[in-house]
Amino acid sequence: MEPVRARIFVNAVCFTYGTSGDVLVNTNLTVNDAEVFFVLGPNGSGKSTLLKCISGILKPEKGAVFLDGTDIATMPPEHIARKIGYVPQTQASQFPFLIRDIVVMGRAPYLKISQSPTTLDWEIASHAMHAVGINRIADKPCDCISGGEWQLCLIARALAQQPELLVLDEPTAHLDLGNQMKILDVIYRLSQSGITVIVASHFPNHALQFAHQVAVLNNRTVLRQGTPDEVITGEVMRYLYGVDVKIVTVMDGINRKICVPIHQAGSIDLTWMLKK
Amino acid sequence: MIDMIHTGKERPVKAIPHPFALTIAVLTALLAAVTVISLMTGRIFITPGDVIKILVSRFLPIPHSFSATFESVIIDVRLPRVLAGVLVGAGLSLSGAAFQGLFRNPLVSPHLLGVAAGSGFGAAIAILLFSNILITQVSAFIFGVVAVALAYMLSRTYRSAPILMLVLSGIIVGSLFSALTSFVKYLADPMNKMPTIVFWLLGSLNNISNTDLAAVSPVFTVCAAILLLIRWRINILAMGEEDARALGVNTQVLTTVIVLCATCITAASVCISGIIGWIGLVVPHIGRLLVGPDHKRLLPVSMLIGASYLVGVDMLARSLLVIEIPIGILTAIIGAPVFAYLLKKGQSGWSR
Repeated sequence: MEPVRARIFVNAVCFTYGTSGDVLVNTNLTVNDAEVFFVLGPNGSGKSTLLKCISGILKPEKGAVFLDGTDIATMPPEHIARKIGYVPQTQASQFPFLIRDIVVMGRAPYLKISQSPTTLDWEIASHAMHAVGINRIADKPCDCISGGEWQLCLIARALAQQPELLVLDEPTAHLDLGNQMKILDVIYRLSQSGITVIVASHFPNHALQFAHQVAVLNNRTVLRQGTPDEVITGEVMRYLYGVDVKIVTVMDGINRKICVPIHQAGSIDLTWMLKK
Repeated sequence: MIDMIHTGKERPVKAIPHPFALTIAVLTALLAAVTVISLMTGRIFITPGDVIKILVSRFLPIPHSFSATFESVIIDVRLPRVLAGVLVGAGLSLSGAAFQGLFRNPLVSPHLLGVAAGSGFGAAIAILLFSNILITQVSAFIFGVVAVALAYMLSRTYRSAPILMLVLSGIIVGSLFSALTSFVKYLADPMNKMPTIVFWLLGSLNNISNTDLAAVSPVFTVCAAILLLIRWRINILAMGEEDARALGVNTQVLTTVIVLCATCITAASVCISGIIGWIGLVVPHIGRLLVGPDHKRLLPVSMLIGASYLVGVDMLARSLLVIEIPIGILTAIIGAPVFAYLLKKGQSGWSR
C-alpha cells in the first residue's frame, strides 16, 4: 500500500478549561489528505475542544497538533487561518450583517489590520458563495435566512479563506433532513475536490454514508480510529451512547450500512399526575 | 481551487453599494447646515450670510462687510463651542459604535468600562482640592483612562471569556469610582465647591476655549484615525471572539487597540465637556437604520450624525430657556424617548 501523507497529526494533546477539570487527556489522531474524517462521541466528550485545538483556536496544554509536519503552536494565527477553515457550531450573529459581508470576512487572514477587502477579495467571496450555492441570497441580512443557509454561509466564509483543510463543528445540528443532506453533499464534494474535511457529528449514519475515516471520542480521549466499518459497531455504539444498536445493510439498490437503535417498549408511570 | 458546485449565474458582488456616498454627502451637508444655524443663534442673532463671510474671511482675503463685534462673537465665543460639539459628538458616537461592535451588544455606551465614573471622580477631586480648570481637565482625563486600565487589568486576571470579564470588571470599577465621587461630593463645601462639581458632572460645552480644543484635538484625531483604519476588523470581532480567532485575527491586540482608542476619545471628551450621556448609545442605532450594521460604513456615518446631533442639542441647551440647561440633562431627555422609539421599531440593526 502506498503511504498517505498525514495532514493533521494530533499528538498526546491535553486540554483544560480553567479549573473545571480536564476536557482532553492524551488524545491522538491522524487525518490524511483529502478525506472526510468524522469525529463521533457523546455530549461533553470533548469533540468541540478537539476541533478547536486542531484549528489553532485553543492551545493544548500538553502535546501538539501538527499540520503537514509543522507544530501549529509555532505558526502565526493568520497563517493557520490560510490553511485551516473552521466552521463553528451554529450561533446567530448579534448584528444582521449581509451574507456577503460575512463571507468576505474569510479574507481576514490575507489582509493587514488596516486593510479592507479589495476587489479581489470580493471576487473570491463571490466564488465561495457560488461554490456552496448561496450566491442568490448574498444580499440578504443573516437574520432573514434559514438554518441551512446560515450553515452554508459559514462554510462559504471558511472557503473564502482558501483553506486546504476544513473543520466543521456539528454542521448538521438543528437542521431538517433536506438541509442535513445538502450540507453533507457540499462537504463530500469539497473532499472530492481535494480539501480535507474534519466533521464533528452526532449521527453515526452520516459517518457510515460519507466518512473515509472515523474517530470516536469518549471520556476525554480518542477511543478508536479507523474506517466506518471498523469503528461503528454495535459494541462501540453501546459503549459510547449506552444504547443497543444494530448495524444492518440496506439493499434495495442503496447497498449501504446503517445504524439502527433498538428500542424496548414500555411506559412511564404517570398516575401521580392524577393527584389532587 | 474550488469551482465545482456552480449553480446559477455569476453575479458580480460590489464592495459598497452606491447610496452610501449619497448618505455621506447628505449627512455632511446636514452637519454644515446645523453648524451655521448654531453659529447664528444666541443672544445676538447673526444672519447666515454674515456667519459664512466671517468664517471665510479667516482663510481668504475678502472685504470685511460685517461688524467687529459679530466677528468676535462668532470666532471667540460660538465657534469654539460649536467645534467642541462637533468633536465630542463625533468622538462619543464613534466610540459608542466601536464598543457596541466589540462587545456585540447594541445596548452598551462608551462609558461601559468606567471611563465616565473615573473622569467624574478625577474632576470632582480636582475641583475639591485645587479649583483650577486646567488641573480639573487633566485630572478628569487621567482618572478616566486609569479607571478603564484598572478594569482591563482586572479582566486579565480571569482565564475565560475575556470580553464578558471586561464588561463585569468595568461595572466593578465604575461602581467604585461612583462611590468615591459621592464621597467627594459629601466632603465638598455645599455653597461653593459642590455646585461646581455637580454642574461639571452634568456636562456642558460652555467655557470651552480654543486652547482646550487645541489640547484635545490631537488625541481625537489620532484615536479616531486608528479606529477608522481598523473599522472593517470590528465586523469580525462583532461575530464573536471564537469566530475572529478562527479567521486568524489576534483578538487580544484588536480588543486592546479598540478599548484604548475609544477610551482616550471618551476621556478627552469628558475632560472638556463633562459627562454627556446617551449620545454614544443612541447615535449608532440611527446610523444602523441608515446604512446597516457594517462597521465600515457605520463608523463614519455615526461620527457625522453624532456631530450634528450634539451641535443641535447644544443650540437648544443655550436657547430654550433664559438660563442654560446642562447638556447632559438635555441629551438624556431627548435620548430616552428616541431610544424607546428605536427599540419599538425593532429594526435598529441587531438581530432578535
